[in-house]
Amino acid sequence: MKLIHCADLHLDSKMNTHLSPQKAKERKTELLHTFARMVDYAKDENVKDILIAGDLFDTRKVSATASNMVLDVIQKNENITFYYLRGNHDQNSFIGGMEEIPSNLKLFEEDWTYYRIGGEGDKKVCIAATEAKVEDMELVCRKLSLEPEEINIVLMHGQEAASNKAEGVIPLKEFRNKNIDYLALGHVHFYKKAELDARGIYCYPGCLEGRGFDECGEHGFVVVDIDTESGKVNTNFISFASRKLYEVEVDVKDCMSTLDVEDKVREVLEQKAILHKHLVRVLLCGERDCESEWNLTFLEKQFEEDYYFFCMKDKSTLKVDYESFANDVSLKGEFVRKVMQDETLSEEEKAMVVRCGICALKGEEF
Amino acid sequence: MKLLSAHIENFGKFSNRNFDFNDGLNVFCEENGWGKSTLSAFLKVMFYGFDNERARDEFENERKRYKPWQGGVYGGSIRFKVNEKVYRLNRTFGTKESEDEFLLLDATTGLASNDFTGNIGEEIFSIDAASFKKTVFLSQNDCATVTTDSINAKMGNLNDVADDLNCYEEVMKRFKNELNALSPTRATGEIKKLQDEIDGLEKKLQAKSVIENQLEEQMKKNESYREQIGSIKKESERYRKIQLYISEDSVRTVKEKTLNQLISKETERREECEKMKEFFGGNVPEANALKDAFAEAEELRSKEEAVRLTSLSEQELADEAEAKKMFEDSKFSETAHKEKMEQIDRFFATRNQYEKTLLSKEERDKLDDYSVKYSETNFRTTEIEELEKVWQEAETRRNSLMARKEAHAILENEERQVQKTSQVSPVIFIIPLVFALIASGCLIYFYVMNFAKIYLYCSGIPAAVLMIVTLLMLRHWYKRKKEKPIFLQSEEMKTQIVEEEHTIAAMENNIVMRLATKGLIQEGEELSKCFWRIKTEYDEFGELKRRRDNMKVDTNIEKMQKDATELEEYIAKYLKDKYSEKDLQAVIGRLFAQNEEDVALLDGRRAIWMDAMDQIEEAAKICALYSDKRVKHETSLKEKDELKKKLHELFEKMGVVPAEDMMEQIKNLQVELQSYMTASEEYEIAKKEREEYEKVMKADEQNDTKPEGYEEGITAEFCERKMEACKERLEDVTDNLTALRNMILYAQEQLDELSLEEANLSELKAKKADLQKRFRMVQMTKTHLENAKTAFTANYIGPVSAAFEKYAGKLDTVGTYEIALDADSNVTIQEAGMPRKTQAFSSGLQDLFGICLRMAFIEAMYKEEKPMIVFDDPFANLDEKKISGGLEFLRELSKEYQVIYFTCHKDRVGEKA
Repeated sequence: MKLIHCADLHLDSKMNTHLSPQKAKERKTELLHTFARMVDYAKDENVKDILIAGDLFDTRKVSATASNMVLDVIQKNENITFYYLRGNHDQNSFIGGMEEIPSNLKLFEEDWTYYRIGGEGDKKVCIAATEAKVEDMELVCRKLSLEPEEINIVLMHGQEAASNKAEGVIPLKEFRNKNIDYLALGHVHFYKKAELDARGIYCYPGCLEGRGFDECGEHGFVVVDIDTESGKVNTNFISFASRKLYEVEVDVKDCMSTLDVEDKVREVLEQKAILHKHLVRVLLCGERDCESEWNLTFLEKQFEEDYYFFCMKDKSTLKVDYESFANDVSLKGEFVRKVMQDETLSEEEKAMVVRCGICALKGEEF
Repeated sequence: MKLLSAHIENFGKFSNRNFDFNDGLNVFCEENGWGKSTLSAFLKVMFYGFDNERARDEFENERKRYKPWQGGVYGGSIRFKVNEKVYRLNRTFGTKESEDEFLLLDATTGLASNDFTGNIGEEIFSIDAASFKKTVFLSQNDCATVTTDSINAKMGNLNDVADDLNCYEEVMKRFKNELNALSPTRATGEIKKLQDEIDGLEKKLQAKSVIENQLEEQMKKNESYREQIGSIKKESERYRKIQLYISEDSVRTVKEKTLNQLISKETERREECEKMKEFFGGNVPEANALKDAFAEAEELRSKEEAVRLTSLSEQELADEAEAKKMFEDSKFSETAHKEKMEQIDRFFATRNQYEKTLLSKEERDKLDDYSVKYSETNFRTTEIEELEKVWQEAETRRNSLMARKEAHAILENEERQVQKTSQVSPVIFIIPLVFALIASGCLIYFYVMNFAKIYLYCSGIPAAVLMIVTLLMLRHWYKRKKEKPIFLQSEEMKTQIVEEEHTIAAMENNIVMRLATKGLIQEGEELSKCFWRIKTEYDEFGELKRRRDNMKVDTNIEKMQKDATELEEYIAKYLKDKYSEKDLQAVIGRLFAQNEEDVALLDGRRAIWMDAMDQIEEAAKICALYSDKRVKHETSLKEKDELKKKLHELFEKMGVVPAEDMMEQIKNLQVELQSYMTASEEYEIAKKEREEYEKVMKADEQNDTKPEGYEEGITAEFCERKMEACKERLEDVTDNLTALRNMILYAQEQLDELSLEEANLSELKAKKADLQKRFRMVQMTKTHLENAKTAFTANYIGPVSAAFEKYAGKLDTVGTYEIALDADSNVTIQEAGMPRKTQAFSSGLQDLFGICLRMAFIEAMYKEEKPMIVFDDPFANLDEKKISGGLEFLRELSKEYQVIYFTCHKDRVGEKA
């Protein structure tokens, strides 16, 4: 028996952090489309159950398009059961706005809700979850009652922690030794799988599509393959995002000009072999000469056609050879010496001040 | 650097003037208006070009100001020495800078030099024009000076890094602008603006928690309403069930009644079926069996009909007998009969063909006529041929006669002409002869007299020509005279012609006569036509005769005879009364008939034959037909009996006694069976209805438990009222829920907006932090740069101060003051315990201070290559005492520098100048 475990879809997210309005709109549609593709995948792979561990939507007010589209997908796939645990972003109008909840959409309540699936002769699979939003999960977990003979899957949404007590935190300790075979979590936007206890594992499938450069890398969902005879649970991460985000560091320590930087960036990107359809952010890093100067806007323009989205950030630091200015009989030299003597400034501040002064004296942008 | 000489081509008022300069002090003491300022300006312009090029005012704009009034080449040249090398600089000026020309020559070689460019002033003195005027070049009433970046740079010997100091002011300005732009205090400062925006957003976000709480309340209320709706629906359902339960009592009665109705209906149907079954004696036949029986009965009927139809009537029997008689002796063969029919056709075809060979009446008449005309006694071809020959000869002679007639006509014509000719006199020949003689005489004379050849030709040629013509004419005349008289010829010919005509006529008459005798020529007929007609008729006569003869030997006759005989015999075989030997012979006899009557009779025979053949054929058909009919009849009879037997068996099987009209009987049976089956179906339906109804009733009885909330005494109306109340409450709650949902949506929208604002706030704060960081950085940079500049300039202010003191000491007046020089090279004088600016003192003192400062700058700037110094009446504001001090100062100065000193006053020159 196979199930799909997904979370943090953040459908209907505005997506406009870096993107132009048009591209933001495109990405928003792609997000919805990826969800539909995931359900098609389930259909093709004969997956009968999909677990959504929270944050299906991004905002409280879900647009009619998103709402109708998700409802449509659920209704058209009657043979697939959707288990929807609402997360911290899901205090929305999606469920509340429904006249009638489709029979294949299973919700959870504040008390532990259990759904049992499985055919005759095989071990039953129990899917449990709670919508309780309390700080003390220990109390909540005490009420969790799972049959050891069954294959138990628990859905939760929150940040894993060893034992912190706070709302929205999943204290793993409280879930150990509770006959849990698979703790299906949501909230962390990266794939992570680890042992829960001797019996079971916990897993964050990550979000379905990266939305910002803090969500680079592979994204998708997890297929949970359950052997209903032996009770063994295997998982497989499926990379499914239509576009990926890449944050690439480029060391510009030997670059002096815009063209130098461009060549260097191009060299690094060619090595990465990133496809045109993806989003890329380049971080210029390393120690640069204080006389070096480049135009970030020009550089961004040089690459913007190569990818779906491209931006650049200059994180490089100035390298000031203070020794070379020791005997420099010039205003510049005098200036550098004065800055070095100022103990109120940090090294970084000194480098910035020096760079600023030198660029200003050269008539350049500071 | 030293000036050696200057040549002014045209500059201001100067035109073609030369000036020499020596080392040391060069004094130019000239009266006002001489052009001292012009000369000093010339020197400055030669190195630095014009000032104020863009000024419109002709005085402000140096180019315009010094434009030579007298016209001519605007410019000049100077010789100068730098680093022991002598140069010659030529410059001319146009109306604008682009028209200026610059030429630097090595004065020694006279060759162009690239050591300096058009920017020669800066290159030699390492300072810009402004700095030049502040130091080396001291123009009238401009003694005061201040340092410039260029001077400072020069003084620091920092040619290579002059840019730093040179743009220091600009940098400070930029820093200032940037700090203003970023300012956290100025209203236009970005940090200030950001802060205001942040404050605004924070204030706005204070409402978030309130809205969140509201939303939570609303969500709870939403749940509560939904629960209420669920509860109301449940209550309504409960009352509905109770109502249903109550109403079910009457329903039960109705149900039982219905059941009874169904049972009675079922019974009726069953009885009906039973009754119908009796009709069949308890043994209901199958529809298929009846269908088969019906088919058989139909078949039987058709067979009976066939038997009836195939029975021979009495007449038919009689006809058959009659027909059979014909074939008693000889059997009829269709093939043979057909052959006979063909034979008839063949006979008459042959006959028609034969008839074509017969002569027609017209032909026969012709034959008769020709037989007489062209009989052997009357007509012999040889004779006719002879006659024709004669005729042809006559024709030939006629034709030649015609020709002779024509010749005769010509001859007659000639005769007339000859007569005319014979009347010509020979005198006519004398004239050309005389001319000929004359020409000949001239020829001889010219020849004897030895005239030129032209004369000989002019006379000789005409003479010869005339002579020849005359001789020819004579010959012709003589010949004609010798010929026989033409009229005689004509007469002869005429006679011959007449004779010939007679001969021809006689020939023709003879022919006509002989032909007429034989009757071969028609009256008035031409002989040519006659002979042609005779030929044609004779040929035709031959053809007719041939045909007539052939008729008698045509082999078709035999054939026809044979056919006719056979036909008659055939007919006689069957129709004896139709046969007659006599008729046969008559037929044969008429084969050769050539008259219409006989032909008609022969044709009539044809009709008889055809009729006979038809009769035979008819009889044969009758026999065949009736024979066939008889066979069919017997076959139909047999089949009919078999069918009848089969039907009886079927009926027996069905247990029905067959009636006379079995088909009708089967039809009735079918109708009855259909009715039975209908009744049977209805019975089954009634039965099923009853059973199903009993099932439903049973099921209802099983569910017939008391619903929750039921109490004795509750009526259906009570339940109805309760349900109505539930409906009203449901509507209210639904309305509230709808309104609440709108509020929830609105709250969610607001919260979403606030979330966006929160994100925006974070961004603004981050941006503000960045700007503050930048602001601090720019401040730090500005401060440090200022400090650096102060420290840097202070490094070289020492030498300037020292130099200033030195020169101040040389000027007694100045040396008495306590003077200080700050890092910006500003002079201050300690007076009354306070440092005072120079502007607080007299013009004369200010000038002196300025001079000292200039010299201090120059001394600091030029350690090795010393420049010339141009003083344009710098002591104009000084009193006598100071002037002498100043002059002494100049002398001292000239020991070290080349000084060019302009003044208009002798008093400002001094004795030793």
